[in-house]
Amino acid sequence: MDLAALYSAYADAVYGYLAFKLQDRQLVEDLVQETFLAAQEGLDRLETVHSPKAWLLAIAHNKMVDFLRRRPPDLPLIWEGAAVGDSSALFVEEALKQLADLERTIVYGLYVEGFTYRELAEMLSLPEGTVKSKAHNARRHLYRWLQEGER
Amino acid sequence: MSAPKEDYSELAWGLIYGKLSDGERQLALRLTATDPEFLEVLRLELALQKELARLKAAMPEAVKQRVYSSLTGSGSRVLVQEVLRTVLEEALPQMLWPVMKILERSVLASEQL
Repeated sequence: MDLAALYSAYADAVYGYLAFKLQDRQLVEDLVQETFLAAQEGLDRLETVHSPKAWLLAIAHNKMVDFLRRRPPDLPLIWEGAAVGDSSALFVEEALKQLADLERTIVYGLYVEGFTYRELAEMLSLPEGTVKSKAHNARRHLYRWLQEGER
Repeated sequence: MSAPKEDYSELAWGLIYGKLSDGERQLALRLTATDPEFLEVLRLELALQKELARLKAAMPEAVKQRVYSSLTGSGSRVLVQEVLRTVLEEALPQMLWPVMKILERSVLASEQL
């Protein structure tokens, strides 16, 4: 798979993940570019990865973490509710706001990207057991939110 | 509903996202028909899938094209910049001499007037 094919298949996923995590759309765009530049340099590793999408999102995640470590402390970049056009997403945002950042990321990976625990563990450089237990906590919370919404 | 069984959540999620082995799929389908607790977890997982799908943001087409142009152009742009810098560093002093001559002449001409 070359850069063009990789970009065509996964640019939306990389952008979607970064847009979910960050407010600043220009920064998201820059990080998408950095992600694919890094991927281009590591294209030879692609054949050994389990999931190209998880591999790319891992690169995007690391680029974002690196940036956030270096950013000025007064820059408000972190997710405070996704900037999604769909107004009905507001209900979901309310529920997600109650979760810790890592739990939100795991929920996004599980339900939006359909990643397995293994893929999420690789993406976030965490043990699979940690991802499982965080997912379980997040689910408990989200089930409760859904059930309360139905009453 | 009390806290759901973790296995049930994973099984229901796997059934929805097509991540189960044949054996797990058979089990999930059997539980759907026989266990109300699993059915409730499956219902909640389906609701979560539907709600959270709204968070998926597609990359705007203009942004997609701009980023791709930058990606494919960035390698050659760096090369062009490097070549240009070298050429200018080498050539600029020589290019400046004729300009200096013109300036000198115009200054002299002004003095003679």
